[in-house]
Amino acid sequence: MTPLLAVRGLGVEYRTGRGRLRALDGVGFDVGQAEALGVVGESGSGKSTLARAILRLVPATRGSVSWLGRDLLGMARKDLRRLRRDLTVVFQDPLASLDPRFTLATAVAEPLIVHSPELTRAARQRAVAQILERVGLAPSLASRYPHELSGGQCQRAAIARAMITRPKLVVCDEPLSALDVSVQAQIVNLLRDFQREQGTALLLISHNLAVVRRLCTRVLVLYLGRIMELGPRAPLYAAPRHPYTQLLLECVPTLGRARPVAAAGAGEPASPFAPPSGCVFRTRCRHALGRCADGVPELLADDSGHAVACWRSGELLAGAPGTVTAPSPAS
Amino acid sequence: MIGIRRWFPGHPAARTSLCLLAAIALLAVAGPKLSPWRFDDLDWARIASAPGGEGQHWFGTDRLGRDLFVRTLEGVRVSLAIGLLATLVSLLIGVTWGAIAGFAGGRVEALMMRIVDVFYSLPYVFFVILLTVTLGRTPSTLFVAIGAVGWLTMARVVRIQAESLRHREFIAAAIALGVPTWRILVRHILPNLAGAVLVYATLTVPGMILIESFLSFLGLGVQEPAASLGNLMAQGAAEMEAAPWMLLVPCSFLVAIVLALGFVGDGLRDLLDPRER
Amino acid sequence: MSAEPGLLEIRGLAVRFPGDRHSVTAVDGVDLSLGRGRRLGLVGESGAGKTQLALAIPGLLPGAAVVGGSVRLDGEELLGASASRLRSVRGARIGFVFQDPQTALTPHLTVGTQLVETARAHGKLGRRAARAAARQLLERVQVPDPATRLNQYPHELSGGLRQRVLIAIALIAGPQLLIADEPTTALDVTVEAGILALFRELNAELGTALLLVSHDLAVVADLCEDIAVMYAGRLLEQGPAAAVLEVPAHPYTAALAGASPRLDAPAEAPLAAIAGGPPAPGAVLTGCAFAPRCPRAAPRCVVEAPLLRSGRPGGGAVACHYPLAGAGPP
Repeated sequence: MTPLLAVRGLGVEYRTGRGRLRALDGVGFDVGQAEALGVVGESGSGKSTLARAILRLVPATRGSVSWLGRDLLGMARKDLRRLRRDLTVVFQDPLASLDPRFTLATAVAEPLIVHSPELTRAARQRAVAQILERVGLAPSLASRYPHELSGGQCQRAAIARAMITRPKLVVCDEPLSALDVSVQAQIVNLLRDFQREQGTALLLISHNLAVVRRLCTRVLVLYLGRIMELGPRAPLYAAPRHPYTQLLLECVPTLGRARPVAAAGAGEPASPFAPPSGCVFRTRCRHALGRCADGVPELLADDSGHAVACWRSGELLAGAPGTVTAPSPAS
Repeated sequence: MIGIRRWFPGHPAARTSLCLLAAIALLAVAGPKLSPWRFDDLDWARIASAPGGEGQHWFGTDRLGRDLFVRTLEGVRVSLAIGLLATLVSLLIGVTWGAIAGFAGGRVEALMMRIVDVFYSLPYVFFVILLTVTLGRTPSTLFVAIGAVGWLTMARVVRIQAESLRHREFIAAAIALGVPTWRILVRHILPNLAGAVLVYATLTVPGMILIESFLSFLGLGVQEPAASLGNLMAQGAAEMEAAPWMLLVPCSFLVAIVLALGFVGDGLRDLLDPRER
Repeated sequence: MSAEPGLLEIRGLAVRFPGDRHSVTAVDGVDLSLGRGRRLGLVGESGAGKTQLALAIPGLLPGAAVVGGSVRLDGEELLGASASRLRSVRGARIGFVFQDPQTALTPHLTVGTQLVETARAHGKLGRRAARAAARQLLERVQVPDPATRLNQYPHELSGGLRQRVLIAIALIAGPQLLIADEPTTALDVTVEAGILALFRELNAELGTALLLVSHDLAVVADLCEDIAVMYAGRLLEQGPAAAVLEVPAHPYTAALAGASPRLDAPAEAPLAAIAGGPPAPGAVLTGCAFAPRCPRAAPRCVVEAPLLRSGRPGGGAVACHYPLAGAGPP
């Protein structure tokens, strides 16, 4: 079955005042129909750039992205516009992603106006009312402006706007970071419901590993623009193969367990302007050896589709001397 | 007028200014009808007489015996009309220019704004003198002279606003959701510019009036016997020591109008920004 | 929590901001105690008033705020103290770590200058001695290569290092109490781990008490011995962190714990979301602030505001007419 989204060797480079910044380097993965893929990383990982490159808000320097087999990056503007009906987005700051001069109803209706001009006004209003109810917004809120509403309500409206055209894939760029914990839970449940009921695929960009685990069946871990690990949820969380994934899982504050003391020596993400040679993670890796500086480790997958970019992954998991076994949160 | 308290909540200066402007406009239109004099009538008996009253010269007369009340109000009409018209033209050109430049970005923006910079750097007085020499001292010269510079600052202001809007997340969302560029400009960029544009426009009107006054003061603008605040002030300046009222009267009107427009602009800005509500 | 007066005793603290039409009550009568050398986590969502409470202690609220109640540091009443007295207390007795290291550091002064300035403002150290103390402190907060860092500007440092510098500035005059307002919210999770470990070490080595304000239950669970849960300006529950989070007595605490995704819970389960949202600031509340969203609310809850009553199983106090029976989170 053709994957919805197929990314191959994607690279994005920026020219800034401080030099060349390679935000993404050689990233490749698939997103299947109705699948939820989580992209996890810290600052400088390139995860937001990935979202913007796929949406063509930012030009890609290298690589390809195909949508149902068609080239997305080289597509003509007219075709791209039509495609945007099926490929929508939810951004991080709910208040900023809505036009302050549009009422919720107008904002949510806009994709329909653009993509389904044949709809009568009445039909459009019905669709808007329906989806507002679906996301849990009272009808009286439809005529309000974003600044009159809470972050959670605005994010629901943004989701409604993204879902009203029944898209095949929604790119969610840190949709929860600006929200309170109790509201995050509501939005997570909402996204999960949409995914199940409408069969919408999700590309969820987040720094929060615990949340990603609730929504996504596969997870991609990025560091300094490169993929460290990519795999199905259960094995990735239970037995992470890349030292960076292990580190992330150790450091995530979560109820129900004490943080291993080793996590304290985690250091800082390296600067994306001067990435280390060879494996970009080697400067923070507790298992780094001399040869980690020599070349970029290839992303190698096993039969189950679990891929790692680490020379030592195999030997570390096999319990070679000097290995620190990863803590195993149950999944 | 009864509901005027609602118009600019919390902005007494704007309310007062609006009333003042309305009063001046009303006076400019209806006032001359109250006086027996016309703007070019010469009253030989009362040359350069002080304001006060004899012969119903409420603001006095000028060097040629013309009634200053009627002439000043005529001047207010002319100056306001030119100010408003010039502002409208500069608004149309400037907003279009700035919005397109700001939203397009890149080389298009750079090119468009360099053109603005070139116009800005023209030495204005020389430019006007050249125009006057080639086109003569006609009203159209005046319009071209003012129009050539009026839109420049508006374009700069709008460009900056449009550029910052371009980076806002709701514009990225609109692009990502497939909204066509023309629609983004018309429905998303322009309405969000409206506040800044309207405020700047109300500040441009006094600017236009001042330019016109300056040009008329130099003798390049509105010509005798027509009156504008500028040429009235020019004549008044010449008589400053002997007959100060000839300068003070048109000057006070100009100051009042310019200040009032400024306050109204402030009030409008607060009114139009939905977050300020 | 100990019965003798602790380092910090807060009684009936109320913070109000008078407004155009009505005043906004940010903190509504809070009692809190912090023992010497203890670590207390103040938890709540946005609008709970926890930052206002933290700022009220060293008198850092804007002038328009109306503050009532009592805040005693080592027996000395801080509310209503003179400006000069407060200035000497800040830094020497109370250190404050702000949320965003980017904006809390002066961009045009070097790290060294800012540290030395603070040190000299509170002690009689000469310039040389102060600089040496600054370097030592940077070492203590685990800033690599401290001698070089002293001469660097804030923008040359990474987020984690900036936060360590902020902590050093807060500690350099040797305070008894460190108040940290969301110190790790703006940081990556791997960097956060280091900063939290640092707080723990400093508390152990220096004996400085810690009041940590956070919206993240897990962070508080990890670092703090005691926890206090705030909602709409009121304290709903407090007690030993482990006890409160394992077996919460207040429905809000239980709901908050349920809404945070745990790595040891089944991945497919939906998160236990709390319906609705926190009350708008400035809303007048009769009865329990949480009642509109509480699954256990009864008529009494809407009418009568529950008082904070001790006797919570496992230690501490809870403000609820119908506290959870201690059978674990729902």
